[in-house]
Amino acid sequence: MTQTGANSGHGGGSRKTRAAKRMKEIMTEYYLEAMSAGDSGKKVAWITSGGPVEPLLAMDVIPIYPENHSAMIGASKMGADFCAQAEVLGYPRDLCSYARADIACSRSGGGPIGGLPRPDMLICCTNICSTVLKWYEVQARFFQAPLFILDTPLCHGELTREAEAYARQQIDEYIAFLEGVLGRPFDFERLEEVGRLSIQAQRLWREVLQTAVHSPAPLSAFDAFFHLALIVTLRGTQVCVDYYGQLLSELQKRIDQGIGAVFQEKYRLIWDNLPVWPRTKWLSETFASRGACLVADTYTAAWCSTLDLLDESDFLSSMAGAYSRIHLNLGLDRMAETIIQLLDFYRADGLVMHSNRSCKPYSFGQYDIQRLVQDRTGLPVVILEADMVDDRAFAESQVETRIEAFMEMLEQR
Amino acid sequence: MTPLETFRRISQDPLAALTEWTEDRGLPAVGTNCSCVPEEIIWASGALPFRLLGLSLKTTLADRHLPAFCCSPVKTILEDGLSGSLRDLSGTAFAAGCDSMQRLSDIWRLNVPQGFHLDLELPAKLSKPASLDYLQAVLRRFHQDLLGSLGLKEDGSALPRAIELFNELRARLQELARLRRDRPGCLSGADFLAVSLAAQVMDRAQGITRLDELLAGLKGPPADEGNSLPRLALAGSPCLLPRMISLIEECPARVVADDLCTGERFFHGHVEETADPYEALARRLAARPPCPAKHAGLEARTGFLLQQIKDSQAQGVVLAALKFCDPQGFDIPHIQEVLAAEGLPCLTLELEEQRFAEEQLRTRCQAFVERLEP
Repeated sequence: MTQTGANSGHGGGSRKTRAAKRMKEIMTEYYLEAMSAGDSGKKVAWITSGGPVEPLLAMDVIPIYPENHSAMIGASKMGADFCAQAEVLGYPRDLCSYARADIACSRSGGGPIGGLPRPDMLICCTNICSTVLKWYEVQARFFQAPLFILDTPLCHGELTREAEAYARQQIDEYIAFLEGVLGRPFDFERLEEVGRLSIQAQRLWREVLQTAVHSPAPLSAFDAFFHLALIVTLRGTQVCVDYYGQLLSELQKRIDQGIGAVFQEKYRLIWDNLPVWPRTKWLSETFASRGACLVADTYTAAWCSTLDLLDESDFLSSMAGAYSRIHLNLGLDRMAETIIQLLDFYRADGLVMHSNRSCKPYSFGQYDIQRLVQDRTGLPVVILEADMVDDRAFAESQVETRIEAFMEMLEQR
Repeated sequence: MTPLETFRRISQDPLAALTEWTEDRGLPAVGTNCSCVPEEIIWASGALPFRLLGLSLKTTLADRHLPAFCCSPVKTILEDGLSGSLRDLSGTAFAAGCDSMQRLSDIWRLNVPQGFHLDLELPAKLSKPASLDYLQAVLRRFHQDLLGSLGLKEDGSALPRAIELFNELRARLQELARLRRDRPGCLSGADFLAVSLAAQVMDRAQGITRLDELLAGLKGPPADEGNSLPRLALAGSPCLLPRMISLIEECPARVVADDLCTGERFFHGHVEETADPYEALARRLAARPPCPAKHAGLEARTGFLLQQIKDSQAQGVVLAALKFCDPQGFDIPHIQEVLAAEGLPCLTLELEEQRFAEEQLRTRCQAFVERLEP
């Protein structure tokens, strides 16, 4: 989700992939096409990162992800400035920094790619948080663009029959919404093809992430943060499938050659929560210089976590259950279970949790998850306080001290 | 004890009302986190709906579970649960609201030992027919789960009877709200809040009786009640602070309307008594003035606020947002903009309930009231 992710070089030893170059080309083409949508007659939809993009692609609408853009703002170290601008507009400093950065950039322009193309519609799915509901209300008013909300109630326990039926009903509402905005009938045949490609891309994404099961891990979570961009924005396209195919074969070569993402991998760790975009390089280097590789994370894993619930032969119906059950839309004990599975699968030595001021659904309950994980696995856990975009909330020396203490704990085990 | 003293006492010490219900009468009580929980269903299941208001002044236990960037209601409610002060509850029912409340529900379920815990996974979107169908289904499931948790069987007539009772309670509270609009000096804003808070925790049948007595007393001949003072509407996050309202009124001014889930939003509307009870309950919940954490259209909230201002002839708005209250935080600039376009002055306050800077607040309120037309 960033142009300047982990692959732009870790002093600690991570290595670039050839696919990274291709990623930059694809993302440049993607944004250029979106910027010139007015000339090509295509419509632009802004959509939340957990939202079902496939119906948009089936209707030839260009999906744009404000979260992705805010991540770029953060990685470009422009986050504090945009967030401060939002505060001048009256938005409190405690609100999500993705939202603050996006709201401010929409009004003032600028940013790492000169702002986003104006939306013709907004698609908001609440499966990642309730914050997006408010954020998209703000933007729908500002752009005077139609807003569709896919409401996926949080599953504290199991997804209820009623909640799944509700989500399914809303998929039909979504299709009717698109037909209304675009003025043409929905292309169900095309959706089948997009659905097939989406499943294929998610399968490849899972394989890419799971290459880190090898020791040394050929990619780190910091690499995954970078490579994530396409599975978020372009799943359901051939270009996405081809990209992850290329990346996977590169990673397999690394495995064959025993090349790790981190030079002399000594410790294997799992990351929880969103990245600290302005500090991914610093964090990557800080961990790598101590021989620690963050081999997996809960964030990037979310884009293939419901793969097994998707049905190629009935993509439309299976979307409802799958989009309702993503990591952030589950109860805390289920989230802890996912982390425990990651720790086990990747044979990890510990857990690093980012207590993210911007993301309450991800960060509230982390102390309980920490306790559940420690009780079950006995592995050490460290919590780092930061923010995903607004680097005013990042105290480098404090974070470094915590990491040092954590690494000492690992060394003594 | 006068009716007003009863409401004040209960609002100041809700736990005494809880103990009176559970210990003296031996009946169950169910804690609720939000005014979206259908209290009628709890009452129809033979239990007292008891709104969790967050009574603790310190949050030492809750701080072990929640980070610093958490709002005070979530922290204090958790503290009440962890400290054991709510041990008289048979269980809790948490309605889906903002992200913080939803995670509080999980943390509560994992850490608060006493009683059962039920989640009402309510829709966030209230503007579509599919949401209403789903809402009804959630209410039906909740009723069955609640009866199961309490070890009871369904009594077909209990829910319609409960709906009637709660309609009566709401009608009286609505009358009280009308009275404060017409004769704002007859009841202070702090006392109005005390009545509204007490009505969310006390025996509701007793609440109706005491409200009848209160209303009868207030309908007497008007005295010099300060009806000519500046009239204000209060909007914002849940308000549990009678002292904050007193400070506003000491400026001097009168609070004549509110858009608070502990105030008028709590008792707004009426449940249709002839319809299917679940459908009728769902319709009222969906038609209520929208909680900022819900979506009922882009202008639903400002539309309700402007209507309230018009009906109450309020001259300005105090917008009180709790620190770390995200739904409120996102709405603030738009509400300010809409009010400014209508030429209505607005004072925005950011508050933390445990850290209440009284003198600073007084100065800001005084300066605001001075700006208003007499």
